[in-house]
Amino acid sequence: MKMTPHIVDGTPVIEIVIENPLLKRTYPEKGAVIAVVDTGFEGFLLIPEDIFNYLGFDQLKTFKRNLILPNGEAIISEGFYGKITLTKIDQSLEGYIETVKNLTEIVIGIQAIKNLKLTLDYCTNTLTIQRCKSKE
Amino acid sequence: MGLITISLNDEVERLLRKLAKELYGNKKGALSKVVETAIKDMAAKEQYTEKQTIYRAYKNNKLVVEASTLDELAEKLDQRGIDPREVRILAGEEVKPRAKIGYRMK
Repeated sequence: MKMTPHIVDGTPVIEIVIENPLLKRTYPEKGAVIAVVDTGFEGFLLIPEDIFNYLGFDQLKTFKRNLILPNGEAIISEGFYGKITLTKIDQSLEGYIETVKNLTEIVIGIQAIKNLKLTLDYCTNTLTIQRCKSKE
Repeated sequence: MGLITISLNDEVERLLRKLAKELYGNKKGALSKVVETAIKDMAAKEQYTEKQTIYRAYKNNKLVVEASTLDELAEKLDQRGIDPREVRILAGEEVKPRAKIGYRMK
């Protein structure tokens, strides 16, 4: 099953819904939100602090770790386990959802997409996403 | 152990029986063993191994709940009347202390 191609201003994005199953909170409450696909991010999902707090992750016993920026600088992130749903292929994934200060975008990393087939075609300005053949 | 009924065309059925006899003789369960091996080989070829994360909730350093999904964990905590805010959750696959990233900041 393929999702609607989605490239915004040259940036590949995926529509997702984010959940904190422990506190039964979902973002957004209706519809989906766009996450930027970043193969340079080794984690699962990075979200702005206000969304992190909206989902109630800040109320749980979170973890902290270092995220290494392209310039080698380390910044501290705060995170917890959560769930995302890739709405167009109806695929739910669990992983470590984290936040850092001043982040303005939702970033989906390689831990989330490692078991998916993503095809990026700038010639036709399309992004397709599929479950791995063996997992269908 | 599951019992399933499958349909094979004549050629594949002959091949299955031939392989079973060659590999396991007339032993009971020979056909199942060939099918099992074929499925495992196919899964390995596809590099598909189902990794299951185990979530463990600790309260005061004592394991209180274990589950294979976050939904299940939430349900079990709820059933036991434990507030998720009071527990430390650890997953089977630990979060790496460092990760690389490249993103835009204000």
